[in-house]
Amino acid sequence: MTAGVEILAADWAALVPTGRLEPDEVRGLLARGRAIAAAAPAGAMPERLSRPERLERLRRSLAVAAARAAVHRFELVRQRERFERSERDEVETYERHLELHKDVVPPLKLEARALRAEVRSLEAEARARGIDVDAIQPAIDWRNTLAVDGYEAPKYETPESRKRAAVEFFRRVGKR
Amino acid sequence: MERKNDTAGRLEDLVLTLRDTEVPAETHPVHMPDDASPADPAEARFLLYVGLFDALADRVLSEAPSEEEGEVHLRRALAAAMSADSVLKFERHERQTRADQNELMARMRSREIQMTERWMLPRLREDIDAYRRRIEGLRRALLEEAE
Repeated sequence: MTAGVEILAADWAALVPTGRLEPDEVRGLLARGRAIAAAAPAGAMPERLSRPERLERLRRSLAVAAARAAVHRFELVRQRERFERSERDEVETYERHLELHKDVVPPLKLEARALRAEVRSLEAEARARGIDVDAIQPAIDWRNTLAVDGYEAPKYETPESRKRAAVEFFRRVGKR
Repeated sequence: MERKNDTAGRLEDLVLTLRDTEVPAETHPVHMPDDASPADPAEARFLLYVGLFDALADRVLSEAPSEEEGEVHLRRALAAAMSADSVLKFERHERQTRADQNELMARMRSREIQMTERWMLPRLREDIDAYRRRIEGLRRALLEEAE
């Protein structure tokens, strides 16, 4: 059983002006809610209903529609912080991810690629001079290094580069 | 017709402000009697709201000078409530879906960021150090051979 539920303080103030509900009143409201929800009218108001029937139907429809809206609002308001946090986290991780893969990783990989090429070039030169390169320390265990020989830094488009590409495209098309 | 100070005015104001999702997130706890409350708090909240709105509608009808006027009040409030319901339903779905997607993306990116920061970058730096030491050794050997 539910020990208690929360409703928005703004709704509480508007719906319970006395600021207090006795257990019997809560029991009565839940029973009333249950009865209405079980037989909530659907669709358009039928024609030829007597006024009391119309009023009864209107009351039930109103209670259900307003309660649905209040529950949606409750969730939207209570989750507001989560919505904001998720937007913030998405932006922060996007920026950090972009920073790493644009500004941090590429220079290191390019540096590693250049140094690997230099090592191989010096080893080839040493071999050509009859030096046993395997005897030179420290050696490198190539299997345990990150393979970056074919690495090319990703090209990220900027608004300027897109603009230049568009201008170039239309310049070429215009020549035909 | 006086609108703002009577129960009909209160009902109308209330349903009109249901669309306002910038209200404070402060809540009020309502104790549920053990013998009457559903197990699901969301269902209990919905039923409580239905009961409270129905009680308010009841008061509107009993205070209205005529059934005709009571019907006008309820119709007006129903139109506003239905409109708020559909707008908020869409907004809730849209915001929850976006939050779910944002959280998923942030989790995936965080894992990738951690992998890059904790594994790839240290490995690359270690490799670079090893290449530099090797280059130094090779240059020394070439120099010694030349001498």
